[in-house]
Amino acid sequence: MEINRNNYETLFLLYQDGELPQSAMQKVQLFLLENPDLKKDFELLLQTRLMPTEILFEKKASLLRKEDKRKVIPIFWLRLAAAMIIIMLGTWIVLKQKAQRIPVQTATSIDQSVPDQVKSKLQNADTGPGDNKKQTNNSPKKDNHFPTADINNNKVFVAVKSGKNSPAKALNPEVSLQEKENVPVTRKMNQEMGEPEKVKREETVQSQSVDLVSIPNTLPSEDLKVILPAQTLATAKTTTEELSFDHTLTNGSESVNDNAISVVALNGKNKSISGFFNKLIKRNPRNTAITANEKTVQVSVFKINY
Amino acid sequence: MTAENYNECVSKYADGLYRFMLKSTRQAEDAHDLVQSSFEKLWVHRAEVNMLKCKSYLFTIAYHNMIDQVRKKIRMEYRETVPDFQQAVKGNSAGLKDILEKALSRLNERQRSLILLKDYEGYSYDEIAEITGLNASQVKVTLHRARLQLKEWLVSVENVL
Repeated sequence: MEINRNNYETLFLLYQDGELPQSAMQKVQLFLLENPDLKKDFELLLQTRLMPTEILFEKKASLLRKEDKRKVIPIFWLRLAAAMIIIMLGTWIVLKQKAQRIPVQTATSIDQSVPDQVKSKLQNADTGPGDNKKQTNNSPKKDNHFPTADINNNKVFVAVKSGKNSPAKALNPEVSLQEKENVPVTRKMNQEMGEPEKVKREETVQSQSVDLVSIPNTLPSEDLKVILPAQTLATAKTTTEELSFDHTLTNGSESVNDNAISVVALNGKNKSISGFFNKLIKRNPRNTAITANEKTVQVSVFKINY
Repeated sequence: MTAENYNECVSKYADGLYRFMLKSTRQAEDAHDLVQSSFEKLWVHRAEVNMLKCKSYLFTIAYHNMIDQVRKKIRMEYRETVPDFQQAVKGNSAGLKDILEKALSRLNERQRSLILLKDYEGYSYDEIAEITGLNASQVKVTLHRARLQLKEWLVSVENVL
């Protein structure tokens, strides 16, 4: 760019700002020599330059930093995910196994799982003085050493498991024989009287024997803390008559097949299952002395908390 | 940039940056806050900043923060200081340096910042363009207009004196 009197200010400023190449700077110097009247303008522009002043930032130390030496712990997401899967799988398996530990015994299998010690207990109970006085004269029960239900005298035998809260006893359940007298066939509820309920089973068959069994040992002990209080759930006047259930008690959950009756009742919170297993067979398999025409009623009372 | 490099930047450039901000804003507290926020940002982004670019990085951040945050405030305060400038000139108690300082306050923020970057820090037009976000031609035009304004003020003061 050629310098002249029209553009000298711009070139003076570029010169002072150090933005001109060497050749252009020489031209400006030459122009100033040739035009001394413009030297004052050049000097005035030079005076507009600020002289650096020393100003200190007093809080400089506050700006200084140190490297953060804290160790970074990496999160291994894959390992974390694998651990979570293993924990969930383990929990599922445990819950599944726990669910399988609550068996529902079928009526037909009860008599097969009755332990021998229970049978002997029953026999001992049978020979007790309290039992003898309640047996009828023509009952074959007397010969079989089994307690007999005599409908004519309104006598009912109820199986009750003892050792309610003791795990050790529950593992080896004892069976005691209790007797309830004068229970009306009309299923009068003992609940109304404020007494403990008890399961009752009545048959009007002559020469009938009642085989009382307990809960088999295969059931987890902690789930069998309380035996269902007795109450009359079903009645039948004769062997040919169909069992009549009290639906208010069974909640309509009873079922009957050829030789077995079962009733399962869930409580309001579905936290326990209670009921009894009955098995009606033509002949007592453990006592050949009973004739083929006699009927045997096997009762098992249970309550499973879960 | 390591922490050591960062601390080196603090040692080298904190004073200059504070001077730039103080002359631009004329408010010590504002200048202090702007310097601190600029170095804070440099520390956060130290891994991405080259040591050689440290100074221009700091000045760029400080300039834009200053323009964005305190422009209105600065403008109001500078307008209020104008009578003081006239008084100082009439009182004949100010040297050329003080007169220039007062004249500087008559410039707008952009002009003042460009003058400061050129005269105090010695940046080239291209470097000033990079810091301010302007192009080199805008820097040149702005700076020249600011210089001519300052020259006019100097001439007028000379006439008064």
